[in-house]
Amino acid sequence: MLDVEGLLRKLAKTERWQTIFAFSRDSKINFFKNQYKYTSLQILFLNYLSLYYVLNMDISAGDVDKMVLDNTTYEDAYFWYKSKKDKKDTTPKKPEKKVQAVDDVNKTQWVFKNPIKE
Amino acid sequence: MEDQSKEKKIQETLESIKENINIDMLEEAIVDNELVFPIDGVEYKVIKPSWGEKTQVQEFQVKKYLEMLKDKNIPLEQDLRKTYKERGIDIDEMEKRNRVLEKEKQDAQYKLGELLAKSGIEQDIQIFKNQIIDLQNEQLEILVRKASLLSLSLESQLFNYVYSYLTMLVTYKKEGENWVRLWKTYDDMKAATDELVNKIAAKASVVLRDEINTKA
Repeated sequence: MLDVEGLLRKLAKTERWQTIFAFSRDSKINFFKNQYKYTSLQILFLNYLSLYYVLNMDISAGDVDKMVLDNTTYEDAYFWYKSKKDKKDTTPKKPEKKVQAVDDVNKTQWVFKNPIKE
Repeated sequence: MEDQSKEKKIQETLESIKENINIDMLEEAIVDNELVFPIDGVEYKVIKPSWGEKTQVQEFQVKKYLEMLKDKNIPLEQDLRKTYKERGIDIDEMEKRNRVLEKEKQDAQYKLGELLAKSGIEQDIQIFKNQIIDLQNEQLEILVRKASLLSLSLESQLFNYVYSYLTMLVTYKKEGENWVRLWKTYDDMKAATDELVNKIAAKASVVLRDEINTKA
Protein backbone atom coordinates (compact mmCIF):
# COMPACT_ATOMS: atom_id res chain seq x y z
CA MET A 1 0.00 0.00 0.00
CA LEU A 2 1.39 3.38 -1.03
CA ASP A 3 1.62 5.81 1.88
CA VAL A 4 0.79 8.92 -0.15
CA GLU A 5 0.35 11.26 2.81
CA GLY A 6 3.65 10.14 4.37
CA LEU A 7 5.49 10.83 1.12
CA LEU A 8 3.66 14.13 0.67
CA ARG A 9 4.90 15.27 4.09
CA LYS A 10 8.47 14.19 3.29
CA LEU A 11 8.33 16.20 0.08
CA ALA A 12 6.79 19.27 1.75
CA LYS A 13 9.55 19.45 4.35
CA THR A 14 12.45 19.17 1.91
CA GLU A 15 14.74 22.19 1.86
CA ARG A 16 13.94 22.79 -1.81
CA TRP A 17 10.17 23.04 -1.35
CA GLN A 18 10.51 25.01 1.87
CA THR A 19 12.73 27.52 0.04
CA ILE A 20 10.21 27.79 -2.82
CA PHE A 21 7.40 28.30 -0.29
CA ALA A 22 9.39 30.98 1.60
CA PHE A 23 10.01 32.88 -1.67
CA SER A 24 6.35 32.62 -2.63
CA ARG A 25 5.43 34.74 0.37
CA ASP A 26 7.06 37.81 -1.22
CA SER A 27 6.65 37.11 -4.91
CA LYS A 28 4.03 35.37 -7.01
CA ILE A 29 5.14 31.83 -7.82
CA ASN A 30 3.02 29.24 -9.55
CA PHE A 31 3.64 25.95 -7.83
CA PHE A 32 1.62 23.84 -10.22
CA LYS A 33 0.90 23.49 -13.93
CA ASN A 34 -2.73 24.49 -13.33
CA GLN A 35 -3.21 27.94 -11.85
CA TYR A 36 -6.69 27.33 -10.47
CA LYS A 37 -9.01 24.46 -9.61
CA TYR A 38 -6.45 22.79 -7.39
CA THR A 39 -6.86 19.07 -6.76
CA SER A 40 -7.28 17.76 -3.21
CA LEU A 41 -3.71 16.41 -3.42
CA GLN A 42 -2.41 19.91 -4.26
CA ILE A 43 -4.41 21.52 -1.44
CA LEU A 44 -3.08 18.96 1.04
CA PHE A 45 0.46 19.61 -0.19
CA LEU A 46 0.02 23.40 0.25
CA ASN A 47 -1.25 22.79 3.80
CA TYR A 48 1.84 20.75 4.64
CA LEU A 49 4.17 23.34 3.05
CA SER A 50 2.62 25.95 5.30
CA LEU A 51 2.73 23.73 8.42
CA TYR A 52 6.42 22.90 7.98
CA TYR A 53 7.19 26.55 7.29
CA VAL A 54 5.62 27.46 10.65
CA LEU A 55 7.39 24.57 12.36
CA ASN A 56 10.79 25.70 11.02
CA MET A 57 10.06 29.24 12.21
CA ASP A 58 9.20 27.92 15.68
CA ILE A 59 12.42 25.90 15.79
CA SER A 60 14.42 29.01 14.76
CA ALA A 61 12.65 31.06 17.44
CA GLY A 62 13.52 28.43 20.05
CA ASP A 63 9.87 27.61 20.77
CA VAL A 64 10.50 23.90 20.22
CA ASP A 65 13.51 21.63 19.89
CA LYS A 66 14.44 20.47 16.37
CA MET A 67 13.95 16.86 17.54
CA VAL A 68 10.27 17.52 16.74
CA LEU A 69 11.19 16.83 13.10
CA ASP A 70 12.38 13.29 13.98
CA ASN A 71 9.02 11.68 13.26
CA THR A 72 5.44 12.50 12.31
CA THR A 73 4.13 11.53 15.78
CA TYR A 74 6.17 14.39 17.32
CA GLU A 75 5.17 16.78 14.54
CA ASP A 76 1.44 16.04 14.88
CA ALA A 77 1.61 16.25 18.66
CA TYR A 78 3.33 19.65 18.53
CA PHE A 79 0.86 21.01 15.95
CA TRP A 80 -2.06 19.83 18.09
CA TYR A 81 -0.59 21.36 21.27
CA LYS A 82 0.19 24.61 19.45
CA SER A 83 -3.29 24.92 17.93
CA LYS A 84 -4.97 24.31 21.31
CA LYS A 85 -2.57 26.60 23.16
CA ASP A 86 -2.96 29.42 20.62
CA LYS A 87 -6.73 29.07 20.87
CA LYS A 88 -6.52 29.27 24.64
CA ASP A 89 -4.25 32.35 24.48
CA THR A 90 -6.47 34.23 22.02
CA THR A 91 -9.84 33.44 23.63
CA PRO A 92 -10.98 36.73 25.18
CA LYS A 93 -11.47 36.49 28.90
CA LYS A 94 -14.98 37.10 30.16
CA PRO A 95 -15.21 40.31 32.17
CA GLU A 96 -15.10 39.51 35.85
CA LYS A 97 -18.35 40.04 37.67
CA LYS A 98 -18.14 42.70 40.32
CA VAL A 99 -18.68 41.19 43.73
CA GLN A 100 -21.41 43.03 45.52
CA ALA A 101 -21.02 43.82 49.16
CA VAL A 102 -23.04 41.47 51.36
CA ASP A 103 -25.00 44.42 52.71
CA ASP A 104 -26.03 45.46 49.21
CA VAL A 105 -27.17 41.94 48.27
CA ASN A 106 -29.35 41.59 51.30
CA LYS A 107 -31.09 44.89 50.73
CA THR A 108 -34.58 44.63 49.29
CA GLN A 109 -34.67 45.91 45.76
CA TRP A 110 -37.80 47.35 44.24
CA VAL A 111 -38.43 47.52 40.56
CA PHE A 112 -40.91 50.22 39.67
CA LYS A 113 -42.89 49.75 36.48
CA ASN A 114 -43.71 53.43 36.43
CA PRO A 115 -41.33 56.12 37.55
CA ILE A 116 -41.94 57.25 41.09
CA LYS A 117 -43.79 60.55 41.24
CA GLU A 118 -41.88 62.99 43.30
CA MET B 1 31.11 -9.20 8.93
CA GLU B 2 32.27 -7.31 5.84
CA ASP B 3 29.70 -9.14 3.73
CA GLN B 4 26.93 -8.19 6.16
CA SER B 5 27.83 -4.52 6.03
CA LYS B 6 28.02 -4.65 2.21
CA GLU B 7 24.63 -6.30 2.07
CA LYS B 8 23.20 -3.66 4.42
CA LYS B 9 24.60 -0.89 2.23
CA ILE B 10 23.09 -2.42 -0.91
CA GLN B 11 19.76 -2.73 0.89
CA GLU B 12 19.95 0.90 2.01
CA THR B 13 20.76 2.04 -1.53
CA LEU B 14 17.87 0.04 -2.93
CA GLU B 15 15.54 1.48 -0.31
CA SER B 16 16.69 5.02 -1.07
CA ILE B 17 16.18 4.49 -4.83
CA LYS B 18 12.71 3.10 -4.16
CA GLU B 19 11.93 6.07 -1.94
CA ASN B 20 13.34 8.61 -4.40
CA ILE B 21 11.36 7.15 -7.23
CA ASN B 22 8.22 7.38 -5.18
CA ILE B 23 8.89 10.95 -4.09
CA ASP B 24 9.74 12.02 -7.65
CA MET B 25 6.61 10.35 -8.92
CA LEU B 26 4.53 12.07 -6.32
CA GLU B 27 6.07 15.46 -7.10
CA GLU B 28 5.17 14.98 -10.75
CA ALA B 29 1.63 14.03 -9.77
CA ILE B 30 1.28 17.21 -7.71
CA VAL B 31 2.90 19.64 -10.14
CA ASP B 32 1.76 18.20 -13.50
CA ASN B 33 -1.37 16.29 -12.44
CA GLU B 34 -0.09 13.14 -14.08
CA LEU B 35 1.85 10.09 -13.01
CA VAL B 36 4.24 8.21 -15.29
CA PHE B 37 5.44 4.79 -14.15
CA PRO B 38 6.88 1.60 -15.64
CA ILE B 39 5.42 -1.88 -15.26
CA ASP B 40 7.44 -4.75 -16.67
CA GLY B 41 9.41 -2.45 -18.96
CA VAL B 42 6.35 -0.67 -20.39
CA GLU B 43 5.62 2.99 -19.57
CA TYR B 44 2.15 3.91 -18.37
CA LYS B 45 0.58 7.23 -17.48
CA VAL B 46 -2.44 8.20 -15.40
CA ILE B 47 -3.76 11.75 -15.81
CA LYS B 48 -6.17 13.95 -13.87
CA PRO B 49 -9.65 13.47 -15.35
CA SER B 50 -11.05 16.25 -17.52
CA TRP B 51 -14.53 17.74 -17.08
CA GLY B 52 -15.78 15.52 -19.92
CA GLU B 53 -14.37 12.37 -18.32
CA LYS B 54 -15.91 13.25 -14.98
CA THR B 55 -19.29 13.70 -16.69
CA GLN B 56 -18.90 10.28 -18.30
CA VAL B 57 -18.15 8.81 -14.87
CA GLN B 58 -21.24 10.42 -13.36
CA GLU B 59 -23.42 8.96 -16.11
CA PHE B 60 -21.88 5.51 -15.51
CA GLN B 61 -22.40 5.92 -11.77
CA VAL B 62 -26.12 6.70 -12.06
CA LYS B 63 -26.69 3.80 -14.47
CA LYS B 64 -24.78 1.35 -12.28
CA TYR B 65 -26.42 2.58 -9.07
CA LEU B 66 -29.95 2.08 -10.43
CA GLU B 67 -28.99 -1.31 -11.83
CA MET B 68 -27.60 -2.43 -8.46
CA LEU B 69 -30.51 -0.97 -6.53
CA LYS B 70 -32.92 -3.21 -8.44
CA ASP B 71 -30.91 -6.28 -7.48
CA LYS B 72 -32.32 -7.41 -4.13
CA ASN B 73 -29.30 -9.64 -3.55
CA ILE B 74 -27.01 -6.64 -3.08
CA PRO B 75 -27.38 -5.33 0.48
CA LEU B 76 -27.35 -1.65 1.32
CA GLU B 77 -24.89 -0.57 4.03
CA GLN B 78 -27.72 -0.02 6.51
CA ASP B 79 -29.05 -3.56 5.87
CA LEU B 80 -25.61 -5.05 6.43
CA ARG B 81 -25.16 -3.10 9.66
CA LYS B 82 -28.51 -4.44 10.91
CA THR B 83 -27.67 -8.03 9.94
CA TYR B 84 -24.25 -7.84 11.59
CA LYS B 85 -25.81 -6.46 14.77
CA GLU B 86 -28.21 -9.41 14.90
CA ARG B 87 -25.18 -11.70 14.61
CA GLY B 88 -23.40 -9.90 17.46
CA ILE B 89 -21.14 -7.58 15.43
CA ASP B 90 -21.93 -3.97 16.24
CA ILE B 91 -20.39 -1.55 13.73
CA ASP B 92 -21.93 1.47 15.50
CA GLU B 93 -20.11 0.39 18.67
CA MET B 94 -16.88 0.09 16.70
CA GLU B 95 -17.31 3.67 15.50
CA LYS B 96 -18.08 4.82 19.04
CA ARG B 97 -14.91 3.11 20.29
CA ASN B 98 -12.97 4.84 17.52
CA ARG B 99 -14.21 8.24 18.71
CA VAL B 100 -13.13 7.45 22.28
CA LEU B 101 -9.68 6.43 21.01
CA GLU B 102 -9.47 9.67 19.01
CA LYS B 103 -10.14 11.73 22.15
CA GLU B 104 -7.52 9.75 24.11
CA LYS B 105 -5.05 10.26 21.27
CA GLN B 106 -5.65 14.01 21.22
CA ASP B 107 -5.10 14.22 24.99
CA ALA B 108 -1.82 12.31 24.67
CA GLN B 109 -0.82 14.49 21.71
CA TYR B 110 -1.39 17.64 23.76
CA LYS B 111 0.82 16.32 26.57
CA LEU B 112 3.53 15.17 24.17
CA GLY B 113 3.42 18.49 22.30
CA GLU B 114 3.78 20.36 25.59
CA LEU B 115 6.77 18.21 26.58
CA LEU B 116 8.42 18.86 23.22
CA ALA B 117 7.84 22.60 23.53
CA LYS B 118 9.16 22.71 27.08
CA SER B 119 12.13 20.35 26.53
CA GLY B 120 10.61 17.63 28.68
CA ILE B 121 12.27 14.47 29.92
CA GLU B 122 13.16 12.01 27.14
CA GLN B 123 11.58 9.10 29.05
CA ASP B 124 8.21 10.89 29.32
CA ILE B 125 8.36 11.82 25.65
CA GLN B 126 8.85 8.14 24.75
CA ILE B 127 5.92 7.06 26.95
CA PHE B 128 3.49 9.42 25.23
CA LYS B 129 4.90 8.62 21.79
CA ASN B 130 4.31 4.88 22.34
CA GLN B 131 0.85 5.53 23.75
CA ILE B 132 -0.12 7.52 20.63
CA ILE B 133 1.25 4.82 18.31
CA ASP B 134 -0.74 2.13 20.19
CA LEU B 135 -3.93 4.19 19.96
CA GLN B 136 -3.37 4.82 16.24
CA ASN B 137 -2.83 1.11 15.63
CA GLU B 138 -6.06 0.25 17.42
CA GLN B 139 -7.89 2.88 15.36
CA LEU B 140 -6.41 1.45 12.17
CA GLU B 141 -7.51 -2.07 13.14
CA ILE B 142 -11.08 -0.81 13.62
CA LEU B 143 -11.07 1.02 10.27
CA VAL B 144 -9.72 -2.03 8.41
CA ARG B 145 -12.25 -4.35 10.08
CA LYS B 146 -15.13 -1.97 9.34
CA ALA B 147 -14.09 -1.61 5.69
CA SER B 148 -13.79 -5.38 5.38
CA LEU B 149 -17.23 -5.96 6.94
CA LEU B 150 -18.90 -3.42 4.69
CA SER B 151 -17.01 -4.32 1.51
CA LEU B 152 -20.00 -6.24 0.17
CA SER B 153 -22.42 -3.35 0.62
CA LEU B 154 -23.92 -1.69 -2.44
CA GLU B 155 -22.09 1.53 -1.60
CA SER B 156 -18.65 -0.14 -1.45
CA GLN B 157 -19.23 -2.13 -4.60
CA LEU B 158 -20.45 0.97 -6.42
CA PHE B 159 -17.31 2.84 -5.36
CA ASN B 160 -15.13 0.05 -6.77
CA TYR B 161 -17.00 0.04 -10.08
CA VAL B 162 -16.86 3.81 -10.44
CA TYR B 163 -13.21 3.98 -9.43
CA SER B 164 -12.17 1.30 -11.92
CA TYR B 165 -14.25 2.96 -14.66
CA LEU B 166 -12.47 6.26 -14.03
CA THR B 167 -9.08 4.50 -14.01
CA MET B 168 -9.98 2.97 -17.38
CA LEU B 169 -10.70 6.44 -18.82
CA VAL B 170 -7.46 8.11 -17.70
CA THR B 171 -4.80 5.41 -18.18
CA TYR B 172 -2.43 5.66 -21.14
CA LYS B 173 0.34 3.45 -22.50
CA LYS B 174 3.43 4.66 -24.39
CA GLU B 175 3.71 3.31 -27.91
CA GLY B 176 6.83 4.65 -29.64
CA GLU B 177 6.69 8.40 -29.08
CA ASN B 178 2.93 8.55 -28.54
CA TRP B 179 0.62 8.01 -25.59
CA VAL B 180 -2.46 5.94 -26.42
CA ARG B 181 -5.43 4.95 -24.25
CA LEU B 182 -4.62 1.58 -22.66
CA TRP B 183 -8.23 0.41 -22.59
CA LYS B 184 -10.78 1.61 -25.11
CA THR B 185 -13.74 0.16 -23.20
CA TYR B 186 -14.62 -1.06 -19.71
CA ASP B 187 -14.79 -4.60 -21.11
CA ASP B 188 -11.17 -4.28 -22.33
CA MET B 189 -10.17 -3.46 -18.76
CA LYS B 190 -12.12 -6.39 -17.37
CA ALA B 191 -10.29 -8.67 -19.79
CA ALA B 192 -6.85 -7.51 -18.57
CA THR B 193 -4.89 -9.44 -15.94
CA ASP B 194 -5.70 -8.71 -12.29
CA GLU B 195 -2.02 -8.05 -11.64
CA LEU B 196 -1.79 -5.25 -14.23
CA VAL B 197 -5.12 -3.69 -13.19
CA ASN B 198 -4.18 -3.76 -9.49
CA LYS B 199 -0.76 -2.22 -10.11
CA ILE B 200 -2.24 0.57 -12.22
CA ALA B 201 -5.14 1.17 -9.81
CA ALA B 202 -2.70 1.56 -6.89
CA LYS B 203 -0.72 4.23 -8.76
CA ALA B 204 -3.89 5.87 -10.10
CA SER B 205 -5.12 6.41 -6.54
CA VAL B 206 -2.46 9.14 -6.16
CA VAL B 207 -3.86 11.23 -9.03
CA LEU B 208 -7.52 10.29 -8.60
CA ARG B 209 -7.61 10.98 -4.87
CA ASP B 210 -11.05 12.40 -3.97
CA GLU B 211 -11.95 12.87 -7.65
CA ILE B 212 -15.08 10.77 -7.28
CA ASN B 213 -17.97 11.04 -4.92
CA THR B 214 -20.15 7.96 -4.66
CA LYS B 215 -22.39 9.18 -1.87
CA ALA B 216 -25.90 8.44 -3.09
